[in-house]
Amino acid sequence: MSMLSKKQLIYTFLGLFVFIAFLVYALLAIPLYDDGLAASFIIGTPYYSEYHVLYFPFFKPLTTVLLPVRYLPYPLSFAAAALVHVLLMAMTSYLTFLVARRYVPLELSMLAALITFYALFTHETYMPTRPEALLTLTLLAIVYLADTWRLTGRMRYLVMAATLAGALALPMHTNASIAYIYLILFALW
Amino acid sequence: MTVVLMPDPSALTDLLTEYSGDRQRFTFLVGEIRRFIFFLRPYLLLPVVLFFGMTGLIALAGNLFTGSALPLARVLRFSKQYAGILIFGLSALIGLAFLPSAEWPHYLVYYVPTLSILAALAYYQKRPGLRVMLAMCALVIAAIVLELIVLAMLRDNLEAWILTSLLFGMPIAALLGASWITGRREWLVAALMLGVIVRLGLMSADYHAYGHIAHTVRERAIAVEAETIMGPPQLNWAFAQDDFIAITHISHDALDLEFGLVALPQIWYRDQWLDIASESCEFGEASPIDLSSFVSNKLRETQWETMTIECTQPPRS
Repeated sequence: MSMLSKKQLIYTFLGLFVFIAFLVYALLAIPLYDDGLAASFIIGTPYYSEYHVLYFPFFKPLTTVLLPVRYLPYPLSFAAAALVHVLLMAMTSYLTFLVARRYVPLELSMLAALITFYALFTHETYMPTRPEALLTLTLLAIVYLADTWRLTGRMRYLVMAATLAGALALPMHTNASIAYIYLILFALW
Repeated sequence: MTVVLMPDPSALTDLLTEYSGDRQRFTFLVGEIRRFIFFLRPYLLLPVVLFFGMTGLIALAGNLFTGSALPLARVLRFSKQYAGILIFGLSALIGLAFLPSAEWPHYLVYYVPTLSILAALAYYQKRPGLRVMLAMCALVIAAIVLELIVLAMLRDNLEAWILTSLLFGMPIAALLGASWITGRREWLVAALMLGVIVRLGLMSADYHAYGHIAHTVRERAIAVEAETIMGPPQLNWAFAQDDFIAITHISHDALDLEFGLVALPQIWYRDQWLDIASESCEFGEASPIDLSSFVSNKLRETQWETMTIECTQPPRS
């Protein structure tokens, strides 16, 4: 069996560190005010906000993603929602890497992903039950797909990006407008 | 749109009506600048933001004013080269500054990918000469000394977790600077790892404080045989939904419980809620919940107390 090179060892160590950090983050995360409000349509009646006293028109994709949190963990634990959150955080860092890779060399893309990871990890208002985590990931996926369309010329990638904008971003939050503005500006460019 | 409108189409118009009356929903450019200040608020992010902000400015100046091409031509070339990334950042700016959003720090996350890629680009630019490097080192040392003096003066007034974050910010800043000057990327990684470890340490303090609050409230509710527990919404996750009522800044209805226990922190809408509740309810003596001073603002408040609540108001419809 061949020995790992120094570079491979460093990457393995770094990957392991990030993985453990994510797990510990999920275990230690506590709900904030907004997480408490969101509880009414995550662990209560689906999509219904007791505080606004109405069926909440947005947040639905996130509520659906967090649906197993109501049924799987026993007793009910915020750590389950936080685990979904760190998965989204990890995927956002990875997608930053993929998007950056289209424009800059490998090492620089890795640094961009690392900075994204750190910024999300230390940001105190980036919460497990708010839509920003899933919406940012969706936005990055749209950017990646639109870029793939630009590079390959295959229309299906643009259709996939537009489908994501309509099916996932729009019902998530009013800030989905960012996806639409991006697609318009990108198409004009 | 079907997903948004179902199952109750009037929910969308109701929510938009509520938003339209809320002036906070329109931020414009000034609001957006104020939002960017929140990038400096997570104190463990502060040295990283300042570091990449500084290297970004140096890279910008180095690229604009060296060589024969005009600055405008360089900007256009850069914009064309990285258009996909820049359009994403611009879309976030238009979406947040010119369309309805809110001036909250939560939305900063939409800028993070663009800024991370630009920060990485700046880090890998050609480094300035020895003189500039030395001047910057002197500046950083002066800033650290100044920060130490200010922290020493404020130590009795600063919360322990802010003090910890700021103190650990110094080695993080030093490691980032050393990495940039020497070109050794291991130090940059070490700086970020240190920040992650400190962040987990602070989260651990919050985790224990939250558990302690929930446990104490539950014990006291059992002791006074309270049928319902009331508290701020973040406690929703610690109690079953059927025996907990969340007190929020928008829940001003008459209370429909006969006897319960209320857990109240020093929240901004506390007095307002107490005024409304005291019209139909009587409160018992307040008992504080002792917490370690090492609690972050994630719990938003450090003073918690419980008291019994007895209401005579008929149930709300």
